[in-house]
Amino acid sequence: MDDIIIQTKDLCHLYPNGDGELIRALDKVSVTIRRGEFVAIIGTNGSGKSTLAKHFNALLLPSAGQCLVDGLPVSDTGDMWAIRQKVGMVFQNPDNQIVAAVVEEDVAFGPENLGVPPLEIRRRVDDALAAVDMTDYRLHAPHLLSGGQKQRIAIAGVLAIRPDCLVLDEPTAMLDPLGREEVLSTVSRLNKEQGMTVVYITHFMEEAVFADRVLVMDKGRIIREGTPKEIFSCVEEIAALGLEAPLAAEVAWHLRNRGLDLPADIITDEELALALCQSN
Amino acid sequence: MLTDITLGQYYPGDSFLHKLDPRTKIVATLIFICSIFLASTYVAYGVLFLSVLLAVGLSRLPAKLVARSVKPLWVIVVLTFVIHAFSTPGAALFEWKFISITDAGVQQGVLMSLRLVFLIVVSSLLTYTTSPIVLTDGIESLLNPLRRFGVPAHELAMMMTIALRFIPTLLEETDRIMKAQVARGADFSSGHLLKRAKNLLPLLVPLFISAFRRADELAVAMEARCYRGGENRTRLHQLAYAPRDGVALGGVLALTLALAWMRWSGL
Ligand SMILES: Nc1ncnc2c1ncn2[C@@H]1O[C@H](COP(=O)(O)OP(=O)(O)OP(=O)(O)O)[C@@H](O)[C@H]1O
Ligand SMILES: [Mg+2]
Repeated sequence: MDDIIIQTKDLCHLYPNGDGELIRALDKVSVTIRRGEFVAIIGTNGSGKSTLAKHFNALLLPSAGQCLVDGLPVSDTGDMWAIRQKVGMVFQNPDNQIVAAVVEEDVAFGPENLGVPPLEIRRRVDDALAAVDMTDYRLHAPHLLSGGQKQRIAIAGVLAIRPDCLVLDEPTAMLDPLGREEVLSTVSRLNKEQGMTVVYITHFMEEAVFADRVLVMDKGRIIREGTPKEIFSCVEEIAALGLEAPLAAEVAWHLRNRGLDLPADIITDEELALALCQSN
Repeated sequence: MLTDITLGQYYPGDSFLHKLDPRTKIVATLIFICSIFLASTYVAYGVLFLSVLLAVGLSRLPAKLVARSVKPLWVIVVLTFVIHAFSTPGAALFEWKFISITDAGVQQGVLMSLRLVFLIVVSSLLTYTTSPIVLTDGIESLLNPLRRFGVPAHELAMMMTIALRFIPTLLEETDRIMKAQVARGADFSSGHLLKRAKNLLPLLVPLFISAFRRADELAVAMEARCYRGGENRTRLHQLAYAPRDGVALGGVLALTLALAWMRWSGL
């Protein structure tokens, strides 16, 4: 029990739409996230990924079922601030989550809200900026930074709260390839070196490949769950869901269909290259 | 450039004025402005002039920069002079039909315009030597005691902080939308006033929609980072008074007292 950081049991969420009807955005979702894990969540638009993520730090409350964060139910409003301290969220648009006009003041925003003493805030800000490799930009204006840098500042802002778990909702969707690489490597470094639990929602399957575990969502349900190899080697199944398997997996699948003898679990470019060299 | 707006007029430096606590600067500026209105005699104006010179000297700002601060308001300065010169009764210096300029009028006009110039220079010293971010902290801290009477000190400061953060972003966005509309044949720069205002509509609508969306997302992000208003909030940078703040306030108070004394004693 102790190594479980987030657990949902039959979690349902209903949104009222304009005409007084209810949209079922989450339908009996049961997931378990363990400490130190890197979990990727993928799924088509509107499959409920963001809705699920917002339950993890009490931005949304369950319509039915349960969501426990470190054993605390999110529906208990008394624990709301404790939960938000345990689970930090990074959103898609880097511009719309930076509050202050100076980088270090923005990173300080979270600890300031928690009433942390100034000297301790200083330490946390320095640590957080170092962790995302942005110390040199501490006195810069956020609007002059690149998208990837802004997103790293947003991550630092969350790290300064000292959460147990980082939830990122499509953090790279608005970035160029370079920025995407910056953000993903920052996040996986945090996971590997500091043991930070990461829940990473993405549309880029090449990013999900780096996870320990992948959850696939469709129409408000978790329909598949497994290691990236298990999920992505079934190229047809992924395609049937309206998703695209990583390019390497797809190429390998086509080659296999043409009779080339390649292992079935190729999902990264490196693995594909290696397998092709060996198959000669 | 448009994006310079976050710095406002701030001219970085480390002079005596730059190092003063923002609260001291705000209060001292207000007192100074009040004392300007106490001056009525030539001697008093002389003292004021010297004090303003001293303040400019202490700021170590380039004289050109200080002079430039008066420039946008010169019309008002000249207008003040003209109105006083024509409307004050006294011995006529110049008469034409029903218009007359009097000696008392010229004198009054000069003094009034001087007051205005002093006022502009002193208040721009505040904005030249204090960054808007620090100024915001100062205003919040000064208004804080008034919270008990319902003054939303923290909320005002938070609004200013967010405005400083988002003005450059929104300006960039305006620029982008404008270019996109121009590429589709929109015309923002010709036609009469009403037509131009109408042409701005396709610019303003998307801008507003995006600003509201941003506000919405920002609010969620702030909540996720445990924001719950100003209660029990601490700050990374804390304001602290130093001995120099006492010196500055003492100086401004002494000036005010001296001017008040001159006024009542008629010096
Ligand atoms: N505030 C809301 N009010 C009403 N319906 C909503 C609201 N937010 C989301 N929905 C609906 O809930 C469903 C799930 O939305 P959600 O944003 O969780 O999907 P998602 O997987 O994050 O999609 P995307 O990949 O586009 O971000 C969608 O059908 C959406 O239309
Ligand atoms: Mg989403």
